Amino acid sequence: MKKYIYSLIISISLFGVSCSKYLDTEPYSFNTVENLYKTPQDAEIGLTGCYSILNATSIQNTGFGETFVVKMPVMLSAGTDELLTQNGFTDPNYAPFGTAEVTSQNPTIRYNWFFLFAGVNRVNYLLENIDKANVPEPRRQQIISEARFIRGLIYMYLGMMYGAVPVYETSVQSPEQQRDPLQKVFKFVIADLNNAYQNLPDRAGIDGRANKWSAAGFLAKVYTYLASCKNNAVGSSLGFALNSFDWVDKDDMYNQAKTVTNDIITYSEYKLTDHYDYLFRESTKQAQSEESLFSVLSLLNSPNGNYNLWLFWQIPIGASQAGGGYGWFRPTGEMFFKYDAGDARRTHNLTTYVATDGPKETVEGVSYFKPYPCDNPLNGNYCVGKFRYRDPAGKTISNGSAWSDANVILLRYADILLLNAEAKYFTGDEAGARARLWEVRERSNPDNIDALTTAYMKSNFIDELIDERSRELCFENWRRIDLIRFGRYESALNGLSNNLGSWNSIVPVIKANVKAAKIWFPIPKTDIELSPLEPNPGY
Amino acid sequence: MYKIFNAIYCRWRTCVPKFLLVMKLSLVLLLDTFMQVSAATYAQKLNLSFNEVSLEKAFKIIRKQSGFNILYNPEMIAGAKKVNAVIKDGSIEEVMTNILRRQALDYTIVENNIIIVRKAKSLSSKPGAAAITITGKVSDEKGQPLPGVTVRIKNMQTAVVSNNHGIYQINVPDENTVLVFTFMGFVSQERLVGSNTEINVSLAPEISKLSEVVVIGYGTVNRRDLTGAVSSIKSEEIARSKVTSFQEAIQGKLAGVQISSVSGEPGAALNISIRGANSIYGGTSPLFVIDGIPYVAGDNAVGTASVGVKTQANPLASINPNDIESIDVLKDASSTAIYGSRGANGVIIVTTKSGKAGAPKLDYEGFSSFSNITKKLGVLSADEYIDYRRVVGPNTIFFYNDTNKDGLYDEMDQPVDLNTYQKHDWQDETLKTGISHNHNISLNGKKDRTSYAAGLGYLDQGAIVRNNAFKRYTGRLRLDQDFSDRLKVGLNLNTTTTGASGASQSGGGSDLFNGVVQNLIISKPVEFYDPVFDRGGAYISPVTMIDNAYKENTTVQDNISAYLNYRFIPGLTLNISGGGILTTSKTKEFYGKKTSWGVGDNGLGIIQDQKATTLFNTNQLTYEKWINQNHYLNVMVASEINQNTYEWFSVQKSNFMDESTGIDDISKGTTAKGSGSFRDVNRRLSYFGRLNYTLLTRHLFTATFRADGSDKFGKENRFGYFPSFAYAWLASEEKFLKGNDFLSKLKLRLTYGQTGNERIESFRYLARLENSFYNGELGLAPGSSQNRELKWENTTQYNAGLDIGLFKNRVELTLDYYSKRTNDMLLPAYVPGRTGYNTQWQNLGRVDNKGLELQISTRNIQTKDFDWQTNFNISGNRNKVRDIGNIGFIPITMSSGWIQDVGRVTVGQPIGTAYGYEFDGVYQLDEFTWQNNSDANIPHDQRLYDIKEGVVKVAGVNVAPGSFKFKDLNGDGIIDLDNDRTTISQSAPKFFGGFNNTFRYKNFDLNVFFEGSYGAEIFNASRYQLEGGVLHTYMNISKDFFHNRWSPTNPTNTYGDFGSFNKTATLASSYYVEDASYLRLKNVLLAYRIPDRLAKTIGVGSARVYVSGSNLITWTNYTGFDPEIQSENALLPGFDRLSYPRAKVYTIGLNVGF
Repeated sequence: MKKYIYSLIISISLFGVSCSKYLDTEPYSFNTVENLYKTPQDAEIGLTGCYSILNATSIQNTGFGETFVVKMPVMLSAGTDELLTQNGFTDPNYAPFGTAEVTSQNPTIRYNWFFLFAGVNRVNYLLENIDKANVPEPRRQQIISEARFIRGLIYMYLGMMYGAVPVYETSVQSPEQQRDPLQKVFKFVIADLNNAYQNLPDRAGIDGRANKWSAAGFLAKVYTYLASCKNNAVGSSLGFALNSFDWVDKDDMYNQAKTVTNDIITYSEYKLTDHYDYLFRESTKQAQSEESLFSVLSLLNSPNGNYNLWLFWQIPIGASQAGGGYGWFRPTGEMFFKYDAGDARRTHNLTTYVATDGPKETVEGVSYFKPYPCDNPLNGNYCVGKFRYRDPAGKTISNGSAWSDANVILLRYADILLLNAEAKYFTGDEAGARARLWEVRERSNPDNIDALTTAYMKSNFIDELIDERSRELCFENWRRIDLIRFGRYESALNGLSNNLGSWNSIVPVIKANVKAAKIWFPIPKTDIELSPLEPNPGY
Repeated sequence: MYKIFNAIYCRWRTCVPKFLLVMKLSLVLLLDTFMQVSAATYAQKLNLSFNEVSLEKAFKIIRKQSGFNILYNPEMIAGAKKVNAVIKDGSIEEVMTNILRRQALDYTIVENNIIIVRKAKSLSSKPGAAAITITGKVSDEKGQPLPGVTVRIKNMQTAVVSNNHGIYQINVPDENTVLVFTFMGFVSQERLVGSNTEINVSLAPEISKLSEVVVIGYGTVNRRDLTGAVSSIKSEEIARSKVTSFQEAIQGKLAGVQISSVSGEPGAALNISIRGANSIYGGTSPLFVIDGIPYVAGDNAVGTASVGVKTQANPLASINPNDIESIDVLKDASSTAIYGSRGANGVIIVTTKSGKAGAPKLDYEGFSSFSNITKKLGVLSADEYIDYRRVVGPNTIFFYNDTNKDGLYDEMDQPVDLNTYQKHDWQDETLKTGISHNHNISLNGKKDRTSYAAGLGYLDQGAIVRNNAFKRYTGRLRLDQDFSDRLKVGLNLNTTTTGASGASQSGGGSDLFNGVVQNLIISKPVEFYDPVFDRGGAYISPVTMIDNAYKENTTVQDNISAYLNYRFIPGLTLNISGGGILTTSKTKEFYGKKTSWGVGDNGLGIIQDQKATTLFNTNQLTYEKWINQNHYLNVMVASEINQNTYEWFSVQKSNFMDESTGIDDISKGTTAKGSGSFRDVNRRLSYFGRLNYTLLTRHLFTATFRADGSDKFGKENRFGYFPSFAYAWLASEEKFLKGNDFLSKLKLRLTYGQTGNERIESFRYLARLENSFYNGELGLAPGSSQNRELKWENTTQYNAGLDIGLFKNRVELTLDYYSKRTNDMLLPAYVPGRTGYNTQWQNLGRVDNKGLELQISTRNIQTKDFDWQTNFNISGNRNKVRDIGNIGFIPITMSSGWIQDVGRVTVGQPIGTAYGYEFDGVYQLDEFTWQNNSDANIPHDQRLYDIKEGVVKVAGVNVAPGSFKFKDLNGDGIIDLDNDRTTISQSAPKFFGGFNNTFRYKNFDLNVFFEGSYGAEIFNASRYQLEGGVLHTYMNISKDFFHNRWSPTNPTNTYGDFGSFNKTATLASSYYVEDASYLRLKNVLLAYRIPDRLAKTIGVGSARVYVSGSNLITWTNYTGFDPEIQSENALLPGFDRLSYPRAKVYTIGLNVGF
């Protein structure tokens, strides 16, 4: 008997713990993917997740602002005739973009590529699962079209930066899939944007999100991009078929561009806002919404971050207490001299530093430190002053005042006017085209518009257009794409002087690096190593 | 030569640690310097009746009635006669004499232990009967009589045993006879009889490792019977180094165990690595088993500062070194495999003191210590700083007011009166003498069947940095109760409260730049406010950084465990134990506007709270059996469950208009800066067993097996299986070596085993949704792809060891060679970014570790008055990453700072390598041309330098004379990121070890301990700042650089131009790599034991006073504060951005026993 009792005690104590459910635990602090898309609210949360790729600080614990928070503005503005790396600044995440020495191992390239494809994945996941969420019409179709707008936008940037990329239509993304030629990429982009153009309302239900005209605006971008690339035989010297524009019907594209920009001008009710500088300030969101067709949004007092960051180069240098930044990238001397001294845009866009004991101004009730003006680009404090942080004393950003609740405008009405001018010119209406340049200039210089028109006049309309695009849109993430599509990437950089501005001392470096192949960013080396993919030529 | 003593208790020796303490206890007693034999304990009268009972049974009955432990060698009583006796009201002596009368056995009593020995052979049995009678007294080194000492005539069988007063009498044949005095636990002595008739002998305790009890997983074993590689350290040794954490106490003392502190900050974590790093992401710290509670010291269990680079806190700072009985480090897989899943990085078993038999003993220990910085860094004085500014920025706001508001500072403006700048030496102003106090009271004893140990401790550790302090309050109680012969229970309670206060961050984020430690070095030595670059909007000095910041962490840790031990039949025991470690940690921080952390937020308050709980239950069944004298078998099977929970929350508010109440009224902050919470539960379910088999007392076999289930993996892969085998051969027990005085010990050990690791975050196998906010709204997005295949990381280890004792074990040597291979590493493996995911947790890759460990202890001199013992250990580990999947390297990026992209984990290299360019001197003037055909009259700073053809260029950088030059590895004439970088440093030392000397002269003890490391390298990133990398006025630079730097007139190849003019200075290169080899005089302790007689006159049992010094001298070429550093990134430990300086500590202390 004793033996049995003993055996019982022993087996209970040794194996009593063997309850198989003991290890069936569930996570507490996160949800799993298959549990989303059960209610209409889930679909909205999923859509917000798609938008968030535009200014995520990090995703999957990786990266630092590889889309519009930090890196894409550098990738798309630096290393042009507008903006160069501050001599002596060597951070490999940033500096190589301003000296045209980006390699396939560049961490920013790697994570930018990953961020953009993660965005594609998010959209595809939404599109596959939205029907489980029982969203009533018309919201269901709007969610789909907003998501497709984001996917179209992402593929547009992928195509413009990297050339041919794999086109994924489902969330099951095979790494074995090879790069699809640019023709397929841009057809996909146009289809997505057209879907959004057809289905979205004039203004989104949530202020600042994609609407009909956002889609139309980017369609205009794509049409003019393709047309000009074809027109200027972009990349043809590289003989790289995947990135070829041979398939483009240039006239059709310019006609489409003219149509869609005309529609925007006629029907969208967007306009040039009165104060040019309000487009670039943190607090003037009302004015911005008059002109911006699409912005990357941020909100003051968002308890969970989601801020944009202009600190590194877009704001004037100076103490953080005065809303100053670092100046990692600096304007070229050429940028300064592209403007006439009387152009108000120069006074605003190119400055020296802000100081806590410096002057202030009040804009719509918000106090801003005013940078000291620049009258000579050889001044060591010469910097980009276009974007402005408000006086941080009045700013309550949860991440700290280095961050910003500013919206980042991706496409604004002035650009639509200039694209319309371009389309008009190539469809035979040079006079109409020149009128658009006048319209854009006049907003910021109503008093000396005639003097400027004379001063800026170039007989070759395209020369003048390219300059005017720079004067109006400098540092707004289009210069690199513009130089490339007009076939002027190499010539513009090789034309820079070594000593026209204080920061042109880096020019010999960029000149040594500029090559035809640099019009495309490299396909990240890690991606190629993990699953073979054809690299871009020259990398 | 070695006697196998088995106490009755200890027949089930692998049952419970507490159980075995009895065995250990007897040894400790024998060794105890305060050993007292009290007649009072013998007074109990016994009534016994034996009728044909076996001697073993009789012993048990006596033990039960008397409470005396009976220690004997089972071999010895194997042939004993049955006992027949009736005793009424007998003393223990009468009982023992009676029952042993007819046996060939004798006994001796030491406290409440009865030791059974063989009876001395009768002299008359020998022919040529002896002529001389020798008497004498055997005592220990303190003069206390030693009973039970065997006194033998050399080369004869004749022997006697000393009596309870240490007195012996023996007849010897002639004057040339040599007497040999042997006693377990003491060093044997030989004496020539000569003309003496009285020979008094004093025996010295033996420090032979062989006789000690070693705690192994779920049991203990005599070192003699040990098959694995285990290093141990006992309380006496721990007591010698006057330290505040137990990790420091073992630093440098154990072969194969590398310990380095993260920082000199009080309460900072210590990184322990046993036989190298096995894992890249799975965690490399060992498993701690604290009084039987398995505990993985979680990085997050104790809170630290939320801003700046965190200094990890030591989750084991709660353990008072004074309470520790022993620390045993299991190194090879045969020892650790019993911990299966968690044993891959080695296991450190900490056993706290338990009640000792005898009268209650009250001890007090207290010390005060004074700490000072070991080294100041040479930075420019205020006047030198002004000279420096004049060189680099004569036309700046430092020298001119921009009176004409043209944005320039030049002769057109009014010069600044330099005398208005206040001058400082920040190191002098922020570093101070830290004063610490430590008091410990302990009480222990055993009454009847209850033994108890209790203690209270208080530590107030003053730091060397202004306003920094660390406090600890410890309380413990340990109870062991025998209910009956079969049932024993015990309870162990330990509670600790620690408080660390003061801002001490080393380093900061991108917008914060630097921490306190950095600031006290690099802050400009003049008070000057530069509105462009002083980001604070006001001049913030290191002093205000400290004084306007508040940081306090309070951590309460409770270790609670209990056990129940029941013996069913002789040899079969069940042990049930359970308990847990509960840690709650609260951190409060407030950074005012005069700190660089708080200024951007207009005052910042943070509260965070962590709660970590480890619970366990182990049920263990042990069966032990001798099958005749030649086979010994010990089988253990067990099951265990384990649960870890972790919770965290944090609230941050900013914008404090009123700072007066600081963090204590967080509602004053008007901006919600952030909040978060997290909860995780992780469970484990295990079955395991061990088989020990001893053949002929000299062939030892051990086999273990463990099955571990973890909820960190999907259902399909939860269980991992971890076997191990070991064989040891005690060659010195073989006939051909037995009794050999030269080679007194020889043991060969061979082991093999597998261990696992699953120390990654929970639920990594699932597809998670991640929060992705946009415009202030919540979004959710797929954040990972699932991997149901995820499974255990596995380490296979082979070990070959040799234990050698020479000259009667006066020289003892342990040598181990091991080879480890970790497969299926748990890695966040990179997947192609175009899948929308960056990484996926996978099992892949391989890391190998190989190494040699040598430990030597010698007793150089051993006389009545003077002893000298030496311990030396040295270890070398070679680590190599063999495979990390299909990607060539894992980049290592350091958070914040100017040089971030510094390291790589590369296949073929060890873990911990920096990656960059190879420094190749400095560009000189003759390698450039400039304007006007290189017109020498143009000043250097106005020349536009063009590099000459054929001189190596650097991609993307406009090099100038004074820039660093790098080796062009691919020889294409241009240095670029992709082709010219290589491995430039290696964080792990080639060898490390310690050298300890203990001297005793009469009542004086002197301990001198050296510790060192050779061959490690540090990437000293702070040199970039200190060499003018940031020319803005807010930084000071190093004296050495300023006076020796490159300039057109000093074309050195050793230093570059100011970092800001030297465009290649921000690139990671071997220029920053320094040799981190060092030798440190770690500890010197001089103690004086007040003679007992004198002690008694002042009313105490014993008293000891001592003075000691720690970190007294460090010999190194390293230019930073200290070569012993540990960065926050485990993949590149050898990276220094000015860590918290280490202190030199002088201590005076007192031990009193009542």
